[in-house]
Order: sequence, then C-alpha cells, then structure tokens
Amino acid sequence: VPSGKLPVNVGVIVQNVGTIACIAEIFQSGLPLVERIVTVTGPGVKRPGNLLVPVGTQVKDAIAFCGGLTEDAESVVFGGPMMGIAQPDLRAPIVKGTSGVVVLTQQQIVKRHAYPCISCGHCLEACPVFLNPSRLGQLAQAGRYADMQGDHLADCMLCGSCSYVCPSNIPLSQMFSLAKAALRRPKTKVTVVV
Amino acid sequence: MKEPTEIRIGASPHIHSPDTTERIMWTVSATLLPAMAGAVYFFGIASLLVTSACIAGAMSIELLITRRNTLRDGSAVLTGLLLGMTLPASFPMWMAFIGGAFAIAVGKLAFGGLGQNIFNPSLIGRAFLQAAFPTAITTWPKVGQGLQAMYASNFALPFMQGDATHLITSATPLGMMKFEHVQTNTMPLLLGGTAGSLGETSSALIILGGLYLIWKRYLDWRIPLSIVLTIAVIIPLLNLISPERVPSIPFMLFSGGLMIGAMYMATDVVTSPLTHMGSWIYGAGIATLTALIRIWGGLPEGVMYAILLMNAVVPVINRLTQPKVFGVESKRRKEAHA
Repeated sequence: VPSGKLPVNVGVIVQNVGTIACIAEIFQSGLPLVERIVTVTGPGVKRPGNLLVPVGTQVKDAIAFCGGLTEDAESVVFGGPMMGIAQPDLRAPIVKGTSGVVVLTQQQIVKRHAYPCISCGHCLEACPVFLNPSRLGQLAQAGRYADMQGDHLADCMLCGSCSYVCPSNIPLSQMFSLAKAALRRPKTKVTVVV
Repeated sequence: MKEPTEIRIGASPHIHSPDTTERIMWTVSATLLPAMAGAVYFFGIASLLVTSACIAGAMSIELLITRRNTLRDGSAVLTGLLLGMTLPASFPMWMAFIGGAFAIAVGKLAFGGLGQNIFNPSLIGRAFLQAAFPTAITTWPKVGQGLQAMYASNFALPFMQGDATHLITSATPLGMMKFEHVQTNTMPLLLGGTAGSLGETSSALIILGGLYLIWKRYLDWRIPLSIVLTIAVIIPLLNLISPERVPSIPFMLFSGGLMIGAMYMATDVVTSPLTHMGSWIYGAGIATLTALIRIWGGLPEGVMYAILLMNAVVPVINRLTQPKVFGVESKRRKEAHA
C-alpha cells in the first residue's frame, strides 16, 4: 500500500476475522447482525468477561452483568485503551462496531503536566510506520498543518504509541488527530459547494 | 454502581507509560551518586563543596529567570551536578557557583529553556570556566589527602584566586601523556586514583551508572558504543601515522573525561540526535575529534570541545538521517520503476 493511500486504492479490503464470520453467517442463515460478542474488561470492572449481547444494549447493562464498576472506576472506553473512545454517558448503546469495552481506573488515567520536548527520540522508536512524531508535534504546536503533510501526516494512523511513551507527556497523537481534521475541513467544504 | 455523571471523558490514548521527563532527570542525577562517592573517597569532602556550589548556582539562576517554577523538572540540578563532576576538587566555590549560573542562563535559558538548547549546558558552563579561570581549572590536587580534605582555594573570596601555596598538586594522566609522554597504566585509570576532575578519576563508577541508565533505556546506548568502537578503529590507524604520539586504546578510553563524556554528556537527550543512524554518526564524530585534539591539539583533553562541536551539527545530522516512512519508496527506487 503506497504512502498516504488506503488499502482500497490498490483494490484490497482488510477485515478482521469476526467480520468475515458474520458475513458468512448472514449468507448461511439470512439472519442479519443482531448480536455480537463484546469483551467487557479493565481493572474498573468487577468480573470481566466476553458477552454475547444484542446490538443496542446499553453499556451500563453489560457492565452490570459483569458485576458492575469498582469504586475507583474512572472512565468507560469503547475500543482499546490506546485508540478507543471514552463514553460520556453509560446509556450509550453497544453498536455493531463495538468489539470491546474497557473500564479504566484512577491509577491508569493520570493527568500530568506537559513538559517541552526534550528530543529523547522515544516516539521515533515507538512509531510503527517510522514517522518523526517529535517533528510533527513541533509543527502541530506551531499550527503549521500544511507542512505536516510533507512529513507524512497522512500515514499516521493515530495508534497513540507516541503519546504513550512521551516522557514529556506531550499529547502528540491528539494533536495529529486535530491536524488531520483541520486539513480535511477545506476539502469537504469544496465538495459541498460543487 | 457509579452514576453515569461520574465518569470522565478524554481523548485517546487513555493510558500513559510511567516514564516522565522529571523521572528521567532525577534518575540520571541519582546514577551519578556512586561516581560522586568515589570523588569524595579520592579527593575528600571538597568534592561535595565544589559540586554543591555548581548546583546552587544553577538552581538560583533558574529560579531567578524563569517565570514558572521549572526547578522540579530536575534539569537544573542535573546540569549543576554534571558541571561539578568536570571540575577539580580544589576549585574555588565562588567560581563554581558562577559556572553553574552561566551554564543554565546561557547554556539553556538563552535558547528558550528545557529542550530548546543546542549545546550541552554543563559543557557550556565548563567552557566558560576554562576561558575565565584557566589556572584554577587546571590545578589538580593530589589524590588521597583523606576524606576530610578541603583546600584553601575552595574558600577563596569572590574575585580572588585563593591561596594555592599549600596545595599538593599532581599531573593528570592526559597531561603526563601530552607533555612528558608517560602513559599511565589502565587499572588505576579504570578504578580511580589518578589526578583529574571529580568525574574523571574512576571510569568504572561512571560506567556503572551509565549501564544502569542503558538498562532503564534512559540513554541511547548507540552513542557510547559508537564512541568506543570509533576509538578502537581510529587509534591503530593514527598509530600508523605517528606511533610515538599515539597512546593505547585503553588509555584513550579510560583517561580523562571520555567515559563521563560518552555516558553522560554526549547522551544528553536534548543535544544528541533523534535518529538511530544519527546517534552512530554523532558518536563517531565525538570520538574522532577527541582523538585528534588529544593527540595533535594544544590542550591535553578534548572531550568537551569534541562534544560541543558535534552538538552544533546535530540539526544537520537529524535532517540527513530521517527515518524511512513505511510504504514510502525512496527516490532512487521510484526512478528505477519509471
């Protein structure tokens, strides 16, 4: 897959096994996707487990089935701890794309002071696609989003590894996500006008 | 069960590694303690006086100039401590204080503070002291004057050199090599007991601290390894040109400030390259410059200037050694395809 492109551009679709199995089931039984297996886990859940739940179940019911939240539970995340989305409301439904619910505790979500970049290079070591998050971060802080494209911002998949390792606690992948959104905006505007 | 309003939202990633800049700075400082204890053992309590004066100078100027309290990030203490390790035990405390202040003010804050400086602040401080007080910084007290040893010059009044008449001095191994062509044996260089700066005398204690930092991944092992390998390659080559001037490889490695330079000064994360390839080039440059200055330069020791010179080219090294992004074809391959 060339840099800056998606698998679709080379005529390939990458899917996980669960999705393929679901498609097979639809063809075999004719039954659409009405339920899915969801992993409810994390130190903030009393009895973690894998549940087969109907799509549309509220997440608080799934958590209640797993023994409920612990006292120090801090945030409920759909997806993994690195890329998942924190839910603002426990009445949020489990949808067809929800593969896991992670409940994190106070010990894991530490709000820390952000220091300046000390050029330690840990982010370069962590980046799975060999970007230079340190440089991208400096460009993002300066608001030079257009220049970030030259440093292959499009190849960043927001895995969060750079933010995770950064000793200065710079919100790198969060800034990249913002930059990507800012760069997308003018493009969408043009299509709307046309 | 908790109410829905009590949960917190935030942007991903939601978890973070336990390493912080603060923790790195304080850990690096802590690993210098064995070497510091060694300095006290060899040169007496005066070592602590000199180092404390450096740290005090560094901390006061940091407190004075910065608007926010940046002392707790630990970098001022580390700079002062490292500067102290590069000074002789008989160094006047007022000079050490000024050196620490200069290191932070000009070496770090003038560039914009933590992370912005081009040159290693401790070495900027030492370069300043070497230019300002060339005599005091090359007066090496003899080893083994007892734990309680303090020197009259430590307590020199500001703007005075202090009384050095009763000081028993001794030449450093590098000085003896340069001016008398006498090569010190490896064991005393490694274990300590030779004259020199606080952090120069025992290479073994410095290596110990460095190895711990490598294990913790707080310093890039490629830089010291590159320095050691380059010395091992370059010395036999230089020996072909000028056999009477060139010392042995172990002498080159363990004398003077090479070990503290390789482990603690060159690997300062701020002033060393970001990339792996860059680290190898940077280490090789430091080792080559050090060898050239030591063998043909006017000064017996060249580690400080070698590191400062290589600091200056780090931005270029970074630009030339950018990592190859996954899925991006190199220009040459693209042309081959076309």
